[in-house]
Amino acid sequence: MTTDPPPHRDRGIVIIPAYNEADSIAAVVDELAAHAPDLDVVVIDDGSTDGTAGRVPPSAVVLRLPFNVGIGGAMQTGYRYAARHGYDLAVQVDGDGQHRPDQIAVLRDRLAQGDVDVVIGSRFLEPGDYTQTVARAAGAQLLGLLLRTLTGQRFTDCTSGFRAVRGPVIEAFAHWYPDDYPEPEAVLLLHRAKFRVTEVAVAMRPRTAGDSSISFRQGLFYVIKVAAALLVDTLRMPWPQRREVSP
Amino acid sequence: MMLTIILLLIGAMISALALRSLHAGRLKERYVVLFVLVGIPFVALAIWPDAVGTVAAKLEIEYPTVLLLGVTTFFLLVNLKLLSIVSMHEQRITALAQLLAIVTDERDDAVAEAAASRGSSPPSSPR
Repeated sequence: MTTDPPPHRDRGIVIIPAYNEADSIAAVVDELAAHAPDLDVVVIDDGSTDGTAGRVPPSAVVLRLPFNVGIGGAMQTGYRYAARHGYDLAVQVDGDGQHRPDQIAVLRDRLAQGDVDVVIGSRFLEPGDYTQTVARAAGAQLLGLLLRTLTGQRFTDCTSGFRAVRGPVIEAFAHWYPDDYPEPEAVLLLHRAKFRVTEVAVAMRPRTAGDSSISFRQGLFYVIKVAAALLVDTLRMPWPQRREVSP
Repeated sequence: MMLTIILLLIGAMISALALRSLHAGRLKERYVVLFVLVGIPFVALAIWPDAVGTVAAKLEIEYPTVLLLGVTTFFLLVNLKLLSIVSMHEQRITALAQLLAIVTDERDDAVAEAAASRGSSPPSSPR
């Protein structure tokens, strides 16, 4: 029996990093309000040039980064905000509409069981209708295999950014968040820092607008670079001291 | 003798450049040390011109190979130092940008609350 409070009663926040997502961000925030009305929403506009911040409905907080810092830096901004405002639960959702707000309940239900600190929404844990190219599937398999070797744990969708985390992980991410290839790197660093990570099967949509941050042509190069970054991560401290700038 | 003079001149030129940059505020004091380190090989070669040849003979490696290895290693080390400085500053700049975004939001909230308490409309901006 766990002594942790039920996460459904926790103060939760949805973190949405957005870079040039003007076409999709309003629908994502509106859908969140419908499916997860008890969660606050913060959108991190990562130096967009298409007026993304102006399209965010007033129900969400918008944090505008003065220039593009990349997906890792943008996500960490959300975690810093969450830590600063004392949230106990954070859910990462992409701003492109790929992550379905109605699936957040699946992540929260798994987190509510109390035996894990991070829940990753996986497209491939169970057979579903989400399709991807052969090259992408092969790349994901290779990264999964490498992560399994490094952590001893099976991950079917280590590049998924659809995640829910508990308060201690919010604090950890606010202090340090990988910024090169954050999704797979975060899995490895969480494992090395003894946080408990698991996956649950979720349904996702194809992107509704904008361009994927990883194009088809970059796929192979991406896998090589991520593999190199993961190997480098094994050499450093799981949660290195950050050169902090305090307000 | 000519080699010694040339090497000393190069060393002096690098030092003068570093001091000029320091004086003009373009180079921080801590990085002047880096330039002093850059100058050390020149001084060493000026004092001992046949150092490379001696090392090559001891290691039984061709003279140009020793020279290439030495220069490459030295500049890689300098490069490593510079990249570590760049990485540190990149982290700090990112942290500053993140805090700026958060603090700006908090300021906007405070302005809106103050306006609401006065009964006037705050300047419109996305929340």
